[in-house]
Amino acid sequence: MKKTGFGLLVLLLPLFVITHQVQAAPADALRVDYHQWKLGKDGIRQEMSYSELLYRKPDSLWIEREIPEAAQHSHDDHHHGGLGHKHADVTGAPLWIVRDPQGKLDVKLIDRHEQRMIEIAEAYYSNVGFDGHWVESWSLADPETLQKLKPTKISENGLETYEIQRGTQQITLVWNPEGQYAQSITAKDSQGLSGRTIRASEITAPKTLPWTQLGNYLSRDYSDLLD
Amino acid sequence: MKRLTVTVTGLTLAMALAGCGSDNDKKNNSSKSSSSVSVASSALASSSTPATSSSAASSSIKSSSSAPSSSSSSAAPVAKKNVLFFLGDGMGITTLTAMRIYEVGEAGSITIDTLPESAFVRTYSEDGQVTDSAPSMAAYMTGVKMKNEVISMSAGTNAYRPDGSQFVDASGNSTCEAGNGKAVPTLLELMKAKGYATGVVSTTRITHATPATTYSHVCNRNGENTIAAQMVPNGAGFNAALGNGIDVVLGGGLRHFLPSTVSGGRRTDSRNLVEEMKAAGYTYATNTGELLAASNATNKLLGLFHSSDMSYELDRNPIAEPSLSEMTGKAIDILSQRDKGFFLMVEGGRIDHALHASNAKRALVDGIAFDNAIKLALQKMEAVDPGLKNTLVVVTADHDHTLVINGYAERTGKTTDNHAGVLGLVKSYANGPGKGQPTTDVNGNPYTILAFGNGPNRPATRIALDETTTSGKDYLQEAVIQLDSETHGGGDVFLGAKGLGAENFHGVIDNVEVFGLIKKAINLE
Repeated sequence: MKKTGFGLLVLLLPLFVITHQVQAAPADALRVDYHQWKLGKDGIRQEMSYSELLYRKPDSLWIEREIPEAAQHSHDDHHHGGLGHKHADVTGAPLWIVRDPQGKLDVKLIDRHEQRMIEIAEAYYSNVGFDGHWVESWSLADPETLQKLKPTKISENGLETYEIQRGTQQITLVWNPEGQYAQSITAKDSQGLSGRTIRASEITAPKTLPWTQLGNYLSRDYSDLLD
Repeated sequence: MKRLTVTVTGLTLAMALAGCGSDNDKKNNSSKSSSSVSVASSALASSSTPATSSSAASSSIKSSSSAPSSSSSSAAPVAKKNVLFFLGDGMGITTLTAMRIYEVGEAGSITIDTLPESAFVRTYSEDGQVTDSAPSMAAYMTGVKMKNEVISMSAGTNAYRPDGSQFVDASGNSTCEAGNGKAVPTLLELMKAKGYATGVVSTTRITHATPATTYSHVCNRNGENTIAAQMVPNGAGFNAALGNGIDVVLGGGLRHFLPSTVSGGRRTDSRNLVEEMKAAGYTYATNTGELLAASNATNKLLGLFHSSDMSYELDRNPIAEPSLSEMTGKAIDILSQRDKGFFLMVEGGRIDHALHASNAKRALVDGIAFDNAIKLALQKMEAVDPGLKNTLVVVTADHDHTLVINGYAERTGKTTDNHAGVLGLVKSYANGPGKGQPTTDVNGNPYTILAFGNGPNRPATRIALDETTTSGKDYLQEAVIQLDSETHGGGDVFLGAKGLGAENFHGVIDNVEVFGLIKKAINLE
């Protein structure tokens, strides 16, 4: 999974509840930091972390991996396959998801190097790290399904904390009802062998949203990247 | 033995007037006396569509012994020989095994397993240890070993310039340069020239590499607009070696037939090739109903059922898109009506795509759809030609993938709605308390039976998988090396054959040998 790598956490989130009415406008831009670790029985602890930027409008979502400068150079130097059928390097490329009034999703991978928008058919969602769930991708948790649980704590600024035991996993979720996103999700197993954390913070949205800058991009299908 | 020898545009075909088997044909070839008359090529064509310039040249008929050519209608009928070439794109031997286990369990047999003759095929290309679909299918269709991404061109043809750029523009138009190779004849073209009916069926875009190798010639497979134009009789860029055109064309790829000025069109030359094909005499089908409603007496049939590749079988809307079996069946129904035999290529093209996605479930389901098409074809051909005495059926793949069957899994039997089968986890076969329990990796996590050498799903830390997850339609099997898209593999592939000349296929052969063995089977010189 490249975009929503914490899929297991997302699957657990329907157990939570939202209790406050939302008054303010949702946050339109977030930075989301992902971190997970695992301790093997060989004693080696493996860790992974990365960050993504989310630009949000009611029916449009842009997810873009933050790639540090050094890694960006390495990425640019990597061979690109041009417009051919294979060798395409779209690792970490932004994902643009649009939802129509009927709830149908239009998912595109944005290849800035080759200036093309790659249409992602539903069969290929998994290949670009999208699990097909609009709400969970937009809010990092589903507020409607959260309504089945009560918060264990509500802070002075309205943040709601939920605690749940799921199998051997202890999950803590902090929901920001004003901004309409999960501010943090932490999961760890009872044996201390693995853990995962998602932390989201509000950032200033760019003056020009990225999806308005794709006028010259070619339209392509994901299957064009296959042999 | 009365016999006709027909020469059309430099190609010679020997046709027995009595006695239809290949042995008879060999004897007939030794005839020494002959007489000659000239006829218009239209008299040789089974189609009413006017012949193009290349085939419109007058032809000579040489008749042996004293039999006048005009008496042929009262002679014994000429045997109708048929070649059905089935290509499972990317269907390597591991994929075949997984298909079998998925559908009928370890000890069962799918249709491909029942083919009586078989061989292993080396698939390397002119420049690649691991081939792509273009030169591998072209090797079958032309007998020429060419470079990766080249479509039915001479050896040495380059798909890339010295600077690494491809001979194709951003819209899918070929930019191949003069002197960069030349076209080499394909089986379809050769059989067309001899008067056989021809058909091309695929679940991919009909301009995709595999089907393209049967009817087009281009230095880079990505020039799909150019490839489409080569199919259109009388149009600019038409491949004159197709005579009056391919008789049955079924698949996806509408976008390369429509101008970019209409929704979904990719053509930059403003041409609407669908309208041009219709003007050239083609009946046009856009959905399953229209395909099945087409008369078996249809002269020319074009069916384009998707803008791009047709849907995976697992996702297919049966009203909008026909199955591979339905397309194959209709193609046989039409082509077998003709006075002479036919050549039909059928590709299960999306097995490969699902494997590239490392999505084993879709690959196996498409593989079984391909097997079902073969099953139907054998049934239909047995009715047309009992015993397949004059029909050769060849089933093979163009290349392998990196799919592996992992671990010491206990037998799973076939996959059902409630049983993951080969899509599940490796479980212990050994008697004892661990029997039937998942085998685990060094960190105690279970792993799947099917996995890939490379592909998109290489988790930074493996987690405890369950079979509900791994047998889901969107699950991507894990890979050793992380790549955006899984690659082909370099292993040999299986070839199975049945019918006329099938016994010629045995041992370990090179992919270019298949071309000659098919020609030998039907005495095509």
